[in-house]
Amino acid sequence: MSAAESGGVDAAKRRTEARIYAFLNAMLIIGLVFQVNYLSYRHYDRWDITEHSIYTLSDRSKVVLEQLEQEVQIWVLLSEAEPGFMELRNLLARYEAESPRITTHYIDPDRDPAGYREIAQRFELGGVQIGEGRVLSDVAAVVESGERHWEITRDDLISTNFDPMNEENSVELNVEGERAITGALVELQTGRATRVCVTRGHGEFQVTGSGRSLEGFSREVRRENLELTAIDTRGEGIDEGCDAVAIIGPEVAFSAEEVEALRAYVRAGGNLFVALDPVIPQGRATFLDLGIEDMLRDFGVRVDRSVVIEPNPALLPAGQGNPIGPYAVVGWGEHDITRSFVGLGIPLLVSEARSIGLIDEQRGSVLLRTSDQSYGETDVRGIVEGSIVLGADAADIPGPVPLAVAITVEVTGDDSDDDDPDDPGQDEESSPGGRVVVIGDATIFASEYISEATVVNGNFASAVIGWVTEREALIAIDARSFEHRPVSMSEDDVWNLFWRVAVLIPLAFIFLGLAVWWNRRT
Amino acid sequence: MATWTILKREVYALFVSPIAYVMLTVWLFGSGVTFWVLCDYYAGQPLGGGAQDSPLTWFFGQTTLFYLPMLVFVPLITMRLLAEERSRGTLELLMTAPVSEASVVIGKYLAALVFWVAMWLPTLLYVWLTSRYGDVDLGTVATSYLGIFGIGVYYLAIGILMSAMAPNQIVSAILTFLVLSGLFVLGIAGQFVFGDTYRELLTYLSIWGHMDAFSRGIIDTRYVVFDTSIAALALSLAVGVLKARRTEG
Repeated sequence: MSAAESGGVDAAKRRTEARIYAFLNAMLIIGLVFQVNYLSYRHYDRWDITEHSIYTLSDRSKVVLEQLEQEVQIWVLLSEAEPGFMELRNLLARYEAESPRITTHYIDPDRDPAGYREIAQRFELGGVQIGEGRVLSDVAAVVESGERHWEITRDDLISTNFDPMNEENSVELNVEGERAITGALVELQTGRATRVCVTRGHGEFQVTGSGRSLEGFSREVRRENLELTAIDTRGEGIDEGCDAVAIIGPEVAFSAEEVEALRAYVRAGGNLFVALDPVIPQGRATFLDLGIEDMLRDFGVRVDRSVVIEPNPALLPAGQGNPIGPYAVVGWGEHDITRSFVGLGIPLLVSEARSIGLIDEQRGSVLLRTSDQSYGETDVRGIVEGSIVLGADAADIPGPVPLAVAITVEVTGDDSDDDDPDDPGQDEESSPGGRVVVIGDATIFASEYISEATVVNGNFASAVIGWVTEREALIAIDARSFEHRPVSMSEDDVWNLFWRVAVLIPLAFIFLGLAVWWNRRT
Repeated sequence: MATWTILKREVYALFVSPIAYVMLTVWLFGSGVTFWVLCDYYAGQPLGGGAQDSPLTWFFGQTTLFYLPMLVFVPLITMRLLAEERSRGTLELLMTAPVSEASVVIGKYLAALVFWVAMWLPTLLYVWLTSRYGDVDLGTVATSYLGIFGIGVYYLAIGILMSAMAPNQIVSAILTFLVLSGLFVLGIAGQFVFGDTYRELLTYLSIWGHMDAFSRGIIDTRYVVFDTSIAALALSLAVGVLKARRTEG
């Protein structure tokens, strides 16, 4: 072989080697890119940069997700064309990013009827709606974990409210999907709805019905898988199926037998929540004894015979100057219940409240206090006659006045062992059960306060119930509402826009181009 | 240093060329009309939509009007960067200079990216105009532009690769268009796939999925990694192509 031929063979060999090297290099890089993307897909994060943190999960949801012990499948049975679907999808993506145990699946009943039928049979879902030629599921989502599942309706996931009376033409928007989904996760963890037994027969707020009704509160906590049930305390004692007993706004005294039943329930590990208004019988100048004050004192809670007066005009709603109420309270104590409200800047609205304190400050926590200028008026005669002179005297309770306390009572299991009336209870961090919260105002549970977005009554009520029933996952701020002024254009505005974006801006670049061309030419 | 020199030269060449201004004018006219159409449609809708419901959100990736022009303009931007030099014979001259293939590719790529940014900068005026008629979430606007930049990062890289492989500008433009269209169609196909795994994969590859998160104010690290890794892959392959040409040339 000649030198030229040899050189040619060498060059061909080098070219072949170079090609093989380039191919292998390319495969290596492709493999590396694939690996990087695979790892990135498995371990990723999503940062919510929106002004109102629309897609950021609340602390409550994060707590629930941290506590997940099993894999959770979320089956979304909505059509992509439905309003709010994309917001829901982004929200569920946040759940997936927050916890690797969450997996979401999307099935459009209209476009994938076979897939929907399979899910419907598996979870024994209800009927399918046929609307405008489309197939819709009456269940919007199913949250499944292990053998259990929880259904969520369309109304639970998506809600938009429009207030036509708002002068600034703003729209208040609620993304309720997070509440429903987190509530479903909580339900799957506990296996059943939390049952709060609300006493009746003493003029209390009713679970259903008009007037003094807990319907608004019941609706708020329904999504947290919490059930309010009315019970009678007369007869055979407190039902063991009650996760907590609530006494909300009684106006008639409890009998001694009823009080003993309640005492035995708490001492045996039951949880109690009491909301007491200052009850002044008509025509009398004295506070009504409701029969449970002594029991609460035994638990370490002092129920004062007073009506709290709030003279600070900054805490009174505009146009309403009544110092008895309603007024705002922002003096939050240090407790798991109030942790989420500290520094929030949103008040609790209270009306006609009484002072509630602790016999031993070391044995419990004050949840709420009024302002320094307020005081607890003990002169009931003046209140009845409407002749109160603002200003505390020696007999009154000076501000800041405590309005609500939380305490954990020693669980004995047998009330006959508790012979020491001077032992009000024990430290907060005690064995399960025996949680007692007493609030000096039942009006905070009124439906109009619970559903009011500018106050935290609804959230506070949920947090109290959550702590009392030992469902810590409920204690946090739930889904947010915020003001949003939607873009609104008239026909003239739209035409003006056309001239600006489709004519003037491109025209500017034409002139710029001509200027550059002319500059080059000269 | 060589990269910077090449970048400056390419940017200068781009912006003194009348073609750049023709492209920018056509692009802005198309964008303007798209934005105006969306505003006109939005103005006719009843109030009370979602928090992210505004003509700006729709403009940034919620309609095909956003994506289709990209499939045409990206090939136009990248087709001449390497293919034209190759067809004129100046690429070989460039390769004899003491510059690495990587410097050439990255320099030209960055110049294309500068042009991409210049194309989108005037649309900030749309944001300002919209803010006069209602609330605009600036966080969402910022992430939308980040998403657009991310699309440019990997689209232009693919265009550079095609330009390196193609014998001339026309073939380069066609190849780029075909690849980008293929990716676009894959994303649409994801909506018709019922299996969760395949749907997730196609959504991940889809430019729709990419912009869906960014246009709503969410920075999803998966898409950031995807954009940069695909760009890195395409640019590496482009460098490899140039190296192979130098070796075989």
